[in-house]
Amino acid sequence: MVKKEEFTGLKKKILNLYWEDGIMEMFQGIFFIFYMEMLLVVLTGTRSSFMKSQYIVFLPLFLYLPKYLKKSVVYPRLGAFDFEYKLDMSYWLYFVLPIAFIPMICFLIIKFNPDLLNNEMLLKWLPTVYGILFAGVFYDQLKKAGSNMCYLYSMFSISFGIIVSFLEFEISETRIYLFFIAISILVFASGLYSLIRFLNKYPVMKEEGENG
Amino acid sequence: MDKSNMDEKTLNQVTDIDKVVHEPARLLLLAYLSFLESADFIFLMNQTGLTRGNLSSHLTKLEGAGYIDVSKEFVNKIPRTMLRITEKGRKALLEYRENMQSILESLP
Repeated sequence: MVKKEEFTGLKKKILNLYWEDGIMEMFQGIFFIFYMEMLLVVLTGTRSSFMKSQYIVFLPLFLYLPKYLKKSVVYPRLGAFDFEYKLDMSYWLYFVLPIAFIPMICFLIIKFNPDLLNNEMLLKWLPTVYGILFAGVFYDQLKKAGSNMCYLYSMFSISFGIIVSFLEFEISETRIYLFFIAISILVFASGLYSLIRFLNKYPVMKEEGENG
Repeated sequence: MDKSNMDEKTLNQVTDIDKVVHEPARLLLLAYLSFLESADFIFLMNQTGLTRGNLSSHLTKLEGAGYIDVSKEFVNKIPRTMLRITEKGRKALLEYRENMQSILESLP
């Protein structure tokens, strides 16, 4: 029997299926830690070459592991489906490109015009900037998937970013650590919780041949 | 506008509807596949609630019309049928949507 409600909000349903297992969220949480490291290398240049090389070692994993996990965990439960998560142009312009280019811009400013913005100012205010950017990312992702948690995540991201910027620390880098580690833990834990719920909700289907 | 011409035009549009797409189950299948790069038989069966036989029958019709591609592969010795919508299928879905919108707008 065809379920009539399937005709409405079908795209939202598919997006929800894509995010429901929490795997992409968990990888996002881990990615924020690597991003934080990269940012600190740019701002402070104090990381060892070993730490700097970690991106080359782990980057292929980010391209391969999520898909491998989906095949191992999701497909035996839901069936196989391949969904290309396409981002709107506005999402690219307002969130992805700024997040990608902020480290480069910081590097250029510090190198060529340190009077404009110095390390201390960047380390102080970047949590606020990222708080706003990540709020947009969370809102867009979760809203499209039909989750009401988008408001909570966005509010947390903005408010935590601002709070961290106003806190005083002996070492300025602490603000960056605090912000990114907190956001990473939030996103990773949310993904892990979603994964556990998903595994309980969808048992592995019996392996049998199709008549298709 | 001449009312009798409008009725005849609407009638022609209704009779020209693509009957392969018009069937609710097939419309739902094409709608799902239009949002996905590909999906397997089991996924579509779970999502649509169709029985195996019913789903198989509809997929055969869609494949016959050239609206979907069907490929079979083996995963851990279990056969898996992968389905994806073709360009012809996307075009048929789009035309169906436009026709239906036009028909519904011209109804009294």
